[in-house]
Amino acid sequence: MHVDMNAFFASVEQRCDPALRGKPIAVVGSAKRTVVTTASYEARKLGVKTGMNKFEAKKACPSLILVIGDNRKYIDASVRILEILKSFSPKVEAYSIDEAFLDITGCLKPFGSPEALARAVKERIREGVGLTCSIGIAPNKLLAKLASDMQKPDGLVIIDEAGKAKLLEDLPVGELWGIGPRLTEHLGRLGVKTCGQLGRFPASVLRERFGIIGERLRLMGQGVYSSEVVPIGQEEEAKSVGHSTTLPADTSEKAEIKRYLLKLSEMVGARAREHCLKGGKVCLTIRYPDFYTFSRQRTLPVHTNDTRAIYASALAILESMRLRTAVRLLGVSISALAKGSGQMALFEEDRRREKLLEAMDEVNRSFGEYTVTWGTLLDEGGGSEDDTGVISPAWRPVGVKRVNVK
Amino acid sequence: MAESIKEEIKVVAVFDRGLKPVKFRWRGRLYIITEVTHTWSSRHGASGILHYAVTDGATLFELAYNQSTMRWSIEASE
Repeated sequence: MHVDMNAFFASVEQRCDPALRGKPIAVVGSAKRTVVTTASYEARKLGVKTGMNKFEAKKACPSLILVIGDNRKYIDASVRILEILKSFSPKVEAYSIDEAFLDITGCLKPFGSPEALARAVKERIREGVGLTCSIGIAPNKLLAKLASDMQKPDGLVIIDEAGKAKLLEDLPVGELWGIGPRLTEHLGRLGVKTCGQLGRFPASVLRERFGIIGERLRLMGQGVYSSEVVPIGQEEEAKSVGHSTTLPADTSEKAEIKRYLLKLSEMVGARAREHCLKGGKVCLTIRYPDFYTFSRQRTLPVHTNDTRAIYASALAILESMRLRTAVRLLGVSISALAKGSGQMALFEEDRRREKLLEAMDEVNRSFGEYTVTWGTLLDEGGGSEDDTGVISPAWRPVGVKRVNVK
Repeated sequence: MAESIKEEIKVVAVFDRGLKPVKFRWRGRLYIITEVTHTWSSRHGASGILHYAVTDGATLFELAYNQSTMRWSIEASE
């Protein structure tokens, strides 16, 4: 079963403020150069789309009401919804902040049918959180996600084994989860437009053209999908810990870029320390104003989660390159992660640095983030206190992927 | 657009399947809450904060209750 919350952020805001109900609204970030993160169904009907900047959105719909999002509300609602879902099945996968998969095998007895269970889920979410969702039920995750997309808002679609072939025959391949515009285009060049055609296409040609995923694509065309529901807390270990930020304005100013790098390094270091992770590589990501984005990484002599070591490495990468223009976005991450505290620092100075970070983290855990921080970050720049940030698609309710955003 | 306020206030609240604000005094005026439209929680360091979107029928307010300090504040109003 796939549960998809309808226009999640916008619906939460409409729930909060009765004056917004039934009106075209768009949730945006607090930063100057923000984009629409979610539009209400009323706004979507008038042409507002996710990813539009404020001006594009207002142009499409002059009566649009822009609401600055409050991520705490969405995270709280998401966690409450997941708790409700966990009362229906022990296997709930938090796919993103507003989507979840449930394995309902063996959970049907009290309800009698999948449909009755889905209606009970909808009722509990409506009653407990005041929001509507679309639910898809099918033999696997691929088809369940397809089903939940077929009826919005407040939909319920069931695809069974008997009906899937007929449904998929003329369905455009781009409608399938995981087949994006580029892959659709590539498949189109092979003469594959529909799932029916994809399911019959020779696997050897697909393998030759798309490599390892070729066979999987063919099976997807047939509605076959083997990925299981991964319950919360049993997800794969994170492969990296990272943060990125779009700057309020493009800049070539080294001092300003360095401040942002320090702030991002502190965010990465603090989160890694919280989960006892250390990185063996530091990666710096830069985006130019024309959206050209690239990353460079450096291997560290020893694994670390020390803010200053991460910052020093990110800075060394920056110093080693010549920026061809101003910078729009910066990102810092650590990878090649190792769990645990590792070898004890040999020198007194290193031990003192570790203790300093421990003390900083302890204060910030008790009194809130940035209660104690680096003096450089108190200067102007490096991210305003009021910037709310954006919830990453990789956000999860527990573990290192639970990023606290304002 | 919501105006950020962040001022401590006095609130009358009841415990009814959780904590529910009923009325509050802010800048000398008493506001009777006609509807709690939404609630959510967050953390500030070790403190749990309960947030309430409330209306007196005319204006929307955001109230917050800090569970550690047991103090109420008005965070924003429309």
